[in-house]
Amino acid sequence: MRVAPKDIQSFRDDFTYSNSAEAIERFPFPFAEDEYRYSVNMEPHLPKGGEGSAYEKFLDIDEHYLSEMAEREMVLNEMPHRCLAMAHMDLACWDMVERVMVSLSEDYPDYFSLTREGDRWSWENKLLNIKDQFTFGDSSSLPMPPLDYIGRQVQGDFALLDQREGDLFLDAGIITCPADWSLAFDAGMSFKEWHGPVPMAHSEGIFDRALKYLIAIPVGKPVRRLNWTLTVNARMDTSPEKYHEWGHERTSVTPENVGEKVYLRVEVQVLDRMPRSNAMMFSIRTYLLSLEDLVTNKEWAVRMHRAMKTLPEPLINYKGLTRFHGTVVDYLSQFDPLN
Amino acid sequence: MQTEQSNGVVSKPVYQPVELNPKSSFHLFIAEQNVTPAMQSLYDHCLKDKKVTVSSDASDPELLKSLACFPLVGTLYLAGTEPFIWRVASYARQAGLRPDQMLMMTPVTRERHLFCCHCYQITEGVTYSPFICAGCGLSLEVTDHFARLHSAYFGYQANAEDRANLPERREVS
Repeated sequence: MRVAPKDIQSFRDDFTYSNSAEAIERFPFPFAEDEYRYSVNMEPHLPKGGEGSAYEKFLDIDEHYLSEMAEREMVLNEMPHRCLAMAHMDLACWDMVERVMVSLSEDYPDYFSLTREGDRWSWENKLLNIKDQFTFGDSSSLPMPPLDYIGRQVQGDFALLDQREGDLFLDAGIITCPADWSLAFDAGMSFKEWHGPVPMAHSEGIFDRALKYLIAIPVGKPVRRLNWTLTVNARMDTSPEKYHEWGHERTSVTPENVGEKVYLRVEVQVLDRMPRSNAMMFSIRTYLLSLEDLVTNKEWAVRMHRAMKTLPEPLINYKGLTRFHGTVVDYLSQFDPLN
Repeated sequence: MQTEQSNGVVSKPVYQPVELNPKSSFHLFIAEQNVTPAMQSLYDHCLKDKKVTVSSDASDPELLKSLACFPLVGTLYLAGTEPFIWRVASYARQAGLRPDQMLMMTPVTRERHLFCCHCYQITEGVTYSPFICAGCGLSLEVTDHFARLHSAYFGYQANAEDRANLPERREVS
């Protein structure tokens, strides 16, 4: 059984966001080993984990769908520049429209439907009460630009990477729940440039290997990897743009509130080659789980403790955990029998 | 936030000593305001077809015209402040020049342009961190993360996590 979308909860102000027991069970827990280390960790994006798993479908629609779409609308209303597409990315945007509409309508026929007669397409999103007819490839036939239009109907951030000169360029995206990076600033950057601030991985040759691997990905062979950080409060929009508003929350973690206040933030990142533009669609689907919900799974609790305890100092600083990392490790230690 | 590492942020440009490209049959030297001694020396040693343009404005129509008809066998040499160099380079890219056709000389000052991630304004003449944003007035931490498109470095509020605790002032190079 898949979890159905539930009523809207908030990722800001009163933070009413919560996970059901089913959502906790299907959470994409990222640590495969006790000791944390860097790796490219990519695998084919194929179904895994059976029915209801976060990896069952190409795009995961879960109980937070309506909440995340409401949050995205709030971000874009306030900061329209959080969605941008350079002029040469128009075709890539339409590639994405097709990829998302086709996979959503095939995987979730109760929620989404798509009818195609040549270039005349009819799209219905029953969850958001959207029903539109448009001409595929003609941006003037949609009520808003294609990336904006489809991005507001699917969970997760999306970046479209232009491939040229043996490199990938961040030339379009709809980024409303980033783990502390700015699309407005990083727009147009090459693969290594936009990863510029990441510590350790450059000298370990990780980005060279990753880029070589990514530019060779063919159409129809998407890959995925997991990334993670810790977020204070269930805040989706941990963007630099808003850092002056949320940064102080990092000083609010205490031994008493750490379990409910600190969330493991996991990104399931999928890279998928687009057929017309040869661009790469890079989807970043974010999941949030409070530590007190996480430790209800005994295995995760132990592993989480060990991964956090062995996290190298440069990564603690880079991920912005410096102020509360110790409190997290202390809290988790009570669940580790070897401690 | 994105903190700087002792091993360096990869997006920060590194300027190598510039030599004449021996394979090139046309050499265009563009300098901001003054031809630097290093560029003058290159120019004097260049025995092929060559031209110097001095301009204080990267979007100077004459300058853009010379980029628009730039030959495939040409090499472009750039001298001036970092924002000027990268702005001209960005126009040159739009005009179809390849990255290997552009040689950038070490910027004449260490002044940076700083992009505020909160209000998107660019503050000029930045030599130390934290630096007050000319747009929103916040004290910004000056990072080494550089965007060629903005010709600017990334800045974020230095004391957002603890208002009472502003990092000590340090020079940036």
